[in-house]
This record gives sequence, C-alpha cells and structure tokens, in this order.
Amino acid sequence: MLSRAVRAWAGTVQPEWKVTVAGAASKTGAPLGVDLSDDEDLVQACLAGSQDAFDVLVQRHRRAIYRLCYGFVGNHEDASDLSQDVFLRVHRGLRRLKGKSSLSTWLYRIGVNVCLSRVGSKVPPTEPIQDDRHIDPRSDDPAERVLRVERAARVRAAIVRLPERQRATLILRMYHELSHQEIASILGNSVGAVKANFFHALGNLKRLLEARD
Amino acid sequence: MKHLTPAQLVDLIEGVLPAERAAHVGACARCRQQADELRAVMCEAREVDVPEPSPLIWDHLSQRVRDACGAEPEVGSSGWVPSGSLSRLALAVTTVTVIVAVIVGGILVRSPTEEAAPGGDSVAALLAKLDLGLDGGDTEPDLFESFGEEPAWTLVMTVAQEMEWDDTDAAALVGPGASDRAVLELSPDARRELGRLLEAELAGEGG
Repeated sequence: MLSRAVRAWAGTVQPEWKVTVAGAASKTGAPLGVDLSDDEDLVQACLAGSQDAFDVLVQRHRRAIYRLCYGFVGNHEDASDLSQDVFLRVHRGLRRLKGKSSLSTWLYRIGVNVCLSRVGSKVPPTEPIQDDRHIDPRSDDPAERVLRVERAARVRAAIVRLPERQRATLILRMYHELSHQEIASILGNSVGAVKANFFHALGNLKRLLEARD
Repeated sequence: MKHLTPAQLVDLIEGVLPAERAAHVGACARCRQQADELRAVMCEAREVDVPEPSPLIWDHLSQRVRDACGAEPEVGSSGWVPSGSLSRLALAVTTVTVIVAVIVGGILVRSPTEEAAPGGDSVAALLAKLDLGLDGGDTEPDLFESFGEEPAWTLVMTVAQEMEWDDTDAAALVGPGASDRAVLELSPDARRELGRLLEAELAGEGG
C-alpha cells in the first residue's frame, strides 16, 4: 500500500514544486546539481551534455510514456520496447524542442508517433485475463473482482482495435486527461477534429464491446 | 430541429456545452440517446487502468534507455547547438565571411598585375572571369587547389583550423563546399557588388 501511495504521489509532482533528491549523486559521485522541478532547466542541462539530466528526464516522464504505449498495445512487453524507442528519439531530437512547445506535449507527440508507426493497423496481443497482477484489491468480493478484471481486459482489447487516430485521441483524453487543445497540438489536428475523433472512438468502442458480448 | 454535432455531443457529455444548446437534448430523443450511450461507454472505459507492471520495470527501462543513448552521439555534440552558442554562431558567420572574402582576395593576390577591367574594378573583373569559367564547363573550378601557399589562403586556413567543423555545421551556415558555391552561384551583379565591398574593406585595412 505504501509503495502504491508513493508511486501515486510521484505521478502528481507539479513543475512548481521544489523537489530535490537528498543524497543523490551522479555516476561520478558528484552531486547532481540539477533543478528537478523545471523541465526547461532539464532540457538545457541535457543539451549541455549532462547524461544525469537526461536520466532525470526519463525518470520523470517514463511512467506517462509507458502508460501511453501500453494503451496502444495492451501488453507490458511491447509497451516497454516502445517506451525505450520513444526516449531514444527524444535523446536524438531534443535540440529541436527549444522554444517550440512544452516538453510534455513534445514527449507525447513523439510517443504517439512511435506507437502509431510501430503498431500501424496490426492488432497487438493484449495481456491475458488470468494475470494475477490485474486483480484489483479494492473489491472484497472475489467474483466482482474477476468480473471487473474481465471487463477491463475486454475494453483494452477493444481500444487496440480502434483506428489509429481514434485510438490515440481516446487514450490521450481518457487516460492522460489531456485537454482537446493539447491533443490537437500533439496530433496536429484542429480541436474540432479531435472532438469528432473522440466521438467516433467512443461509438466504435461501444460497437466493439457489444460485438464481443 | 438541428441535432447536436459530434463535437457538441462531446461537449455535452463533458459538461461544457452552452446551456441554450444543451437544452436541445430535452426535446430530442435521438440526441438524448446518443449522449446516454456515449456517457455509458466513457464510464466503462474510465474504469480501465494500465495494470501496474513489476516495480523492476522502471529501473530496467531507465537502464535500457541509458544503454541505448550511450551508443548514440552525445547530446550537445555534432549537430547540436550547445547552450551559449551565440559567440560560436558569430564566429561561424565571421569565418564564412572571411572565407568568401579570401576566395576573392586570393584571386587578387594571384593576379597582382591584372589590369583593371573597364570601370577600374579589378575584383569585379576577376569575378567576371570566374563567372566565365563556370559557363559551359562540366565541372566547377577547384579554387582551393589553385591557391596553394597564397598568404590570404594561409590566413583563412589559420582561422578555420581554430574552429571545429561541427560548430559551423551546427550553426547551419556552412556545409561542404558551401563557401565556394556561395561565390560561384552569385549573379554577375552580386559578384560585382561583393567585389566592390571587399576592395573597400581591403583598402581600409591597408591590405
């Protein structure tokens, strides 16, 4: 429970929080000396050649990127591979970021592009329902827990069958709670197109779920 | 009766559709049913979360990224514009200017007895000759080979050697052969003007 709380907290760190890592040291043993609270400072440090700063960048954003990739492919193995690809592309292309958009938006854009290019129109395998890690401990009723797990697996399997842009829009809206404006920026669409994609994604998701029932 | 558009239905289920438009749902069974269905699917999808992977996966992912990036050129090296690059950019601009100037100056040095072309502009005449050298030729003249040990060329080589090629490339100003192409591709009028400016500069520096 404690580790879950810590992980939940880590996902809510705000840019304005002054977060430093007590006792943190670089690979050479020297203090990191990087302001962890500001993505812009991190980017500058990365461009100055600091591998430690890039490590911090990866640590800060890996969970969001992993969740994004998982939403596209529905299994941990592919999500891990895709996440690695995303950060590799980030490492290569960081110099193109300066001043153009926020780091977070840019990361999502790269993540979506990597996922779309790798996944394409193929339907990747999703996690088996029997995987015990999916059992939700919130419910005391085992039967209810199993039903919830099965429903979740059906929804994930249906999401990965959505057309690419609809899938991307739904994942970004539902599971990353990005605004339509942010999604439009990431996908290169208008806000109206994002909303239309979201509408059709929900409609198709409904049809896919009904077809499996 | 105008039904709600897909975008308006999304705004409706997200609670941001203006009241006067949202009122349509009260009178329209079709839009009401659509909105209810969308809400139900959203509710079901919202229950789904990414199953938590093994705690080891995070450090493993970071290590894989670190290893993959380690095999790549460093951030800030070739092709990257490092922070505080304004002085390097200025040096790149200066170097390009020097290279262009000395190409022309090298022509002057090689031909000290060249009579001035009509109009008294020897640089312009040399540039015009350069222009003639291009026309009808299959290959571009190799200016740098012909300069050899010319003092002016020695100067530009000294300056260039102090600057990393990657810095000029990172400034997106110079590519291989860019400086000589810059001169060779100038129009005759542009070359005459360049020659005039360079002559004035050289005369001003006593050169």
